[in-house]
Amino acid sequence: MLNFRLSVLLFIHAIYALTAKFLALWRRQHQREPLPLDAPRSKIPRHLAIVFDLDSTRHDKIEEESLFKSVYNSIAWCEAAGIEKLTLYDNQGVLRNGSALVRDHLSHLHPEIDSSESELEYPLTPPHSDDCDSRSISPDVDIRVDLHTITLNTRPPVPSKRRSVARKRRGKDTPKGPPSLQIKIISRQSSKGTLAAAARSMAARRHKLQSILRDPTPQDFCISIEDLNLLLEGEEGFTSPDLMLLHSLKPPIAPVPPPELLGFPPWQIRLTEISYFPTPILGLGPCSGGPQALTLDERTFRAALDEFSGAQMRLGK
Amino acid sequence: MLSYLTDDFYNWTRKVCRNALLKVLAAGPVPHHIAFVMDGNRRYARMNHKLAQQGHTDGYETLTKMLEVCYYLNIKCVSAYAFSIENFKRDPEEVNALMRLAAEKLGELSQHGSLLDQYGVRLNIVGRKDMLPEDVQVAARQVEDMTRHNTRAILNLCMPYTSRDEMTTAVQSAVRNALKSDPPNLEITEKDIDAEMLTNLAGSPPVDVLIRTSGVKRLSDFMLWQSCEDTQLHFTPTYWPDFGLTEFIRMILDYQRKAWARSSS
Repeated sequence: MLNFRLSVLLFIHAIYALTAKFLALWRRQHQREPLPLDAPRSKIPRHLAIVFDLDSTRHDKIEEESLFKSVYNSIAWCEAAGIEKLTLYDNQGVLRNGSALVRDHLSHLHPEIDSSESELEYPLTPPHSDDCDSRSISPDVDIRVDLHTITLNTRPPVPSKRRSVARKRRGKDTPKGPPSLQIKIISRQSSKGTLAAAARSMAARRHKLQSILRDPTPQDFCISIEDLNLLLEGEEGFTSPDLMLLHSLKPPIAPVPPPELLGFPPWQIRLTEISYFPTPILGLGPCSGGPQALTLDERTFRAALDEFSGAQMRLGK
Repeated sequence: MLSYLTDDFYNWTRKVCRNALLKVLAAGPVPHHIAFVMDGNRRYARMNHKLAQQGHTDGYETLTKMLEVCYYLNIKCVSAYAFSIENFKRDPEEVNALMRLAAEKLGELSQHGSLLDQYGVRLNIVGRKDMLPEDVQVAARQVEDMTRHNTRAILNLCMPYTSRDEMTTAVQSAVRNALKSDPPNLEITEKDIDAEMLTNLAGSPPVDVLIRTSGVKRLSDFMLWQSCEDTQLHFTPTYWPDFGLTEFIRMILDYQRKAWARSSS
């Protein structure tokens, strides 16, 4: 009986695959051309994240070339569209390991500006919530969480106290920079592990305080969403993207598999719009392990911007 | 008279066909845990010239139907985003109506012979229960106590819930556990935090499929931790009260393709 059911199920799958192929073909012929990159849209994302899905069994030159080509193109499109922040993520950590390539690309692109790179992000210590725990906080003990992000700046250096002298000296001759874009490269290390790192730091701080104060009845440890948010998204932290574009370098066949987030940091995707426009290969068999790797194309990028500009944001109301 | 008979016959045939189809689907791998973001009740009501409350009631009917389908497919766990902490910002009249609906339906669910009782489902209220009105809290406690010993399946009703609240509570609990251990073990890992997630405390397996209706393509603070890794996300334009078997089957087929591809590699 089970064999019979399984045969019927396989037959349903065959029909499903066939229907999906026809639908994909029909959609391809009837799809609307997305607006140009710099077209006026009702809103554009200030912060875009692109998540690349790489084949875990592959790691070859062709895939790496497609990945970096997609990244370089995306940087140009972001600048053209006026996006301020671009976060790049891939599920195998290839971008993080090859961040020097992206930095080199930026310095070729904008030789007039230093592409600064910083490995570690140490946001400020969050103030503790008022409802509990406030009595035992010492401002001397800082909480530090390594968010494992690499920041590449194509914008002119931010004026800080240290740099203000140099800025004054340069005066009005400060060169007009290209459209400002901040790029962050993150990997699986910036994901769930950062919450564990935050917990470790807070536990260590509390333990130290308890041993200093030798309080026999210490209050329970409390933390609020705002505290944790400041730690993970603080001024220098990694903020939530407005839009996330998922792109698979593996050529999918129809029916295309549903999107997955591939280990992207969970804290930062609360209200992020998710865009996914896979282009199925309409062949007959699976294409895994083939020589192709799909480079992200401009059309998909523009379609994601179009979709975002039409998205409604109701914030629970 | 004849029309009643034909209607009955039609409904009977429909049910038989549906159950046969579900048995066929259950011959392949099925998700262990499906999460629903039941979005679009109000827009459905507006479109059909109904009151918002009626939209929520129709949405509840859809949930019941889906639970039945999941039960026939042997899906072990279903989570549903019933009410977000952010939803307290809505019009007080609507919030009150939703709370009345929750108290009423939880009361029905705690009756003997209810859906949960019949199918052996354990119900967990996941979220900040302390924010619920007293009568809803009482009804929630009753139904949780009554179904505690059911082991066939789990239903997590997330209300009032947000994922960031859940993650913060999990971090807080992990730190407290670390400090209480003797000697203090301050090496908190991702696993320690994972174990403190409300869904995991309620015995739920990892989320395999997340479905969001009404064309919105974001998670809106729902199961961010649980679905950022190995979860298939389905965003469908249908409003939740209109969500039906056809779309659900497509999602099961997609999951089966993934499971088969994984087992063959």
